[in-house]
Amino acid sequence: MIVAAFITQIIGISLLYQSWRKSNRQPSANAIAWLVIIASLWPWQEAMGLEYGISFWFMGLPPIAWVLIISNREFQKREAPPRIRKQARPDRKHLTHAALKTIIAGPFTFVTCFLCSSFISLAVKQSMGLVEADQLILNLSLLLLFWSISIFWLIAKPVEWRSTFFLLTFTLSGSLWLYG
Amino acid sequence: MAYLKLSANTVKKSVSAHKSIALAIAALLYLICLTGTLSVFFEEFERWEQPSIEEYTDYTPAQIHTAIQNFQQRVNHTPKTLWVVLPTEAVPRMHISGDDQEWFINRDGHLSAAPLEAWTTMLTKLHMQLHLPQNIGLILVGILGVLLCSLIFSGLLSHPNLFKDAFRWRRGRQALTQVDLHNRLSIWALPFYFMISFTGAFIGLMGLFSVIAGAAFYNNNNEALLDDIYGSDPEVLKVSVNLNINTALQTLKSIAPEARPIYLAIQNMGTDDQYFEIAATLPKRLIYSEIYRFHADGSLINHQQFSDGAVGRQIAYSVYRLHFGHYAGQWVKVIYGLLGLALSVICASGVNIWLAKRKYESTLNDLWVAVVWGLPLALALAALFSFYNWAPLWVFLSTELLAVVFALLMKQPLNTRWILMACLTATLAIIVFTREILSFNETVTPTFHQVNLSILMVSLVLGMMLFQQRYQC
Repeated sequence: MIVAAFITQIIGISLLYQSWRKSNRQPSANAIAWLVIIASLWPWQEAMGLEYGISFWFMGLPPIAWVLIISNREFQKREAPPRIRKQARPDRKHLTHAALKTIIAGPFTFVTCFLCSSFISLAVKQSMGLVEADQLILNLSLLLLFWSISIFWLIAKPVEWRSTFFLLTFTLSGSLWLYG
Repeated sequence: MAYLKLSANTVKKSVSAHKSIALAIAALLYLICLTGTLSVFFEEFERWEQPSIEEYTDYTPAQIHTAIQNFQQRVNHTPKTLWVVLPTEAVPRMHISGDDQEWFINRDGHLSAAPLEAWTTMLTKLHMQLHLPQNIGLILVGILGVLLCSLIFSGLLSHPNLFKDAFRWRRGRQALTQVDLHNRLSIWALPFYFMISFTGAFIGLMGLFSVIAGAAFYNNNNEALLDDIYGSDPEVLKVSVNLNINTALQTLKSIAPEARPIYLAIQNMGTDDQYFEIAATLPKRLIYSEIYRFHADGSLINHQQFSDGAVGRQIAYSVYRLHFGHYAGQWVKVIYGLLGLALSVICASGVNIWLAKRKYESTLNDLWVAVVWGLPLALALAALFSFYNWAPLWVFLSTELLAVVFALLMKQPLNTRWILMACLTATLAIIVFTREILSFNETVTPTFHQVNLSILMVSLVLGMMLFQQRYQC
């Protein structure tokens, strides 16, 4: 069964690769390839059990794809332009700005995300009747997810005050809800 | 192939955020990825460091009893908890520990050498807590896990052609090679990297979360929170002075025939509340173990419900094996090693892209070479000198410092890289020969030679890369 799973996965990625190589890429060919790749999940979980099967399915994809990428490598030899060496000093204003963003993206966003994930996990617990362990793990998982997204969002935004204002409002209302 | 259609503004902002986060944590993230990759094989490295410890996979209750008696004779007092780590296929060695004292157990139950706290310990501590005080280190590494998740999200949104170029690798031009290498390695193993960063953040920040959630929901009672997640201690109803491990093992065999015991913990040893736990792995499950609790007389109390309790509890106890790659045998470790190495290359190539796009060279180019090639060299030299009882952490730190100074003095990143790579290649080869010579008269396990062979192969690959680079120059 493991061999069947691996072969199905190889076929799926090869189909995707063949479709990718064509000049006029067809969405239907891609869809079939992805279906075969997804279908390989079934023999994986049959052979290894659900938990191992899913992890093996994910781990099987990159090595197969990388082999195809290596086989498809192109050589574009060109002379690299000579590089000048110069002293680059960090901009003080830029550093202050970065430090400020780090403070907002770090502890401040963490607190906001904790309040947000607590609110959602408690709401889910009440509506679905979860036990404490489920609620707490959901809380932690959402916290990690929200925090990583918030850091990205906050740093990507060129105007900090909008995101800061949004987070501040959320923190205050969350604190009121939790402790008020 | 379908690809994400993102506005130019979103892509621009995402690239900016991806760059800012990556540059801020590049060196630390690279260190964590590199040490994490090596830490996947920490069991093999531990066996390699002490190759003459007796190895076996079978054990008897009598052997365990003898070991416990010998342990009690050696230490001055009875520890609150005594651990007997049982031999498994992955680590066919048995050891006993309590109150920071630990010895290996021979086949006859007598105690042999104490486990070394040498290079492998330094490596795993570096990965888990950066050798900082435990709580601070764990939290910092956990935060790095969160930031890696951020990099994954921003990376996805930064590259609108990520799927369109899914199989493309343009080699030759330095910057383009790095860009394609970075993107191709990233996209295909993205779920794996997300899983690694998420589970890493989960492990690292669980302590901080328990403090904050404990304050918010449990009146500062962290223990109650952790009991809700992982289960609480059992109620001991039967008092017995003598431990009946044999009955417990028989009971375990009858209630869970597929369970493979991995360790035994005697709790509240020598008191009326004495009981013991047998942790056992279950086939096809990612949970670290199920824990079966027994009265001292060997009768079953209960199991901790890691395998069949609340989903949250099962998830909380599954993150460890999922993060370490310690499940389903040796091949998983090899794949984790390869994917971990790919993640380290992604870190290095990401900064290389940024440096290449600057169109000029500065001190940062030198420093980055010292980080990328200095860190593996520092780890290798720490391993080499640990055979002569030098403190591996100090060797590691001194070497890295020397690599930085050397790179700054050279001011030629390409040459510095070549020299550091050459030093690394030579050090790895010397490690193998030194190990083989030092253990020439000892009876060693096959794993010892396998690890040496793997190191030699890495050294040969690096040697080939060196030759190729010099030839191209």
